[in-house]
Amino acid sequence: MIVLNRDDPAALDKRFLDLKPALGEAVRNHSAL
Amino acid sequence: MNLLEKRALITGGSSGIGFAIAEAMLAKGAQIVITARRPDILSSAAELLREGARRVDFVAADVSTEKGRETTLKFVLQKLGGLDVLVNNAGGVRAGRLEDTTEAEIRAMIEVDLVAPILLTRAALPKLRASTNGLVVNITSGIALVAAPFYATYAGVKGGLAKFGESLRRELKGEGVHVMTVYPGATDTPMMSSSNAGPELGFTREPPPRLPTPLSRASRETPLRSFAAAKRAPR
Repeated sequence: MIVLNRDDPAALDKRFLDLKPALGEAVRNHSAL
Repeated sequence: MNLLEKRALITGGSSGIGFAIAEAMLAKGAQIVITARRPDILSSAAELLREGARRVDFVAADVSTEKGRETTLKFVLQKLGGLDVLVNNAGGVRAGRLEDTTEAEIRAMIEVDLVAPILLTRAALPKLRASTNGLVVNITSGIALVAAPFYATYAGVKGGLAKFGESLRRELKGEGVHVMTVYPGATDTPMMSSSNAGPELGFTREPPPRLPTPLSRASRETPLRSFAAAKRAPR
């Protein structure tokens, strides 16, 4: 993923775009301050 | 680095990755002080760490405050007589959309994840120089390498801490103080307990590296290497 982020960040953007709904919900309450 | 008899301070050492680092360093023969904000959890952690008949001192302090940093360093010098290794591990996180994150939460992350390690390092540098073989370890995050959405501020401060370490490593090169940057992947610690993101979303939630207990039986081959990625100052 580190290499992909460097060489083809748009591909990683697409992967995160697909994950956004589920990820946003999963981390919505993630807090440890 | 040979840690035998090295004097080390580990911030956020009462749980999670900080506790695992404390265990590993004790197994290598270091003398340690751990610090964290909550005295009850800190005291329990110190008791666990002492099971191998090791010496562990602790001080309850908030290193994101000037007073907390002063208290911590004064305690360390009183107990250990000097400092060879500073582990900047204490951290905090608040995920979610940026618009849903309050200014206070953003500033808290900046203070504890970025400003505190910078200022604690600055304050500790005279003692680390006096050691002649000093080491600063900055615990950043894999998110400093690949920034996931909904962690914009956290990624920003952890990325900032990583670059702080990179620059300082070069600044201190050849002067007897080394700087190491650690990039842990998602680790199953109390800090992650309020997140529901699992492997299906790229959060592998690996357990922090632990040694067999009691510490006296601990393997000497378990320590920091098991973190997802680490870059060490070239010697």
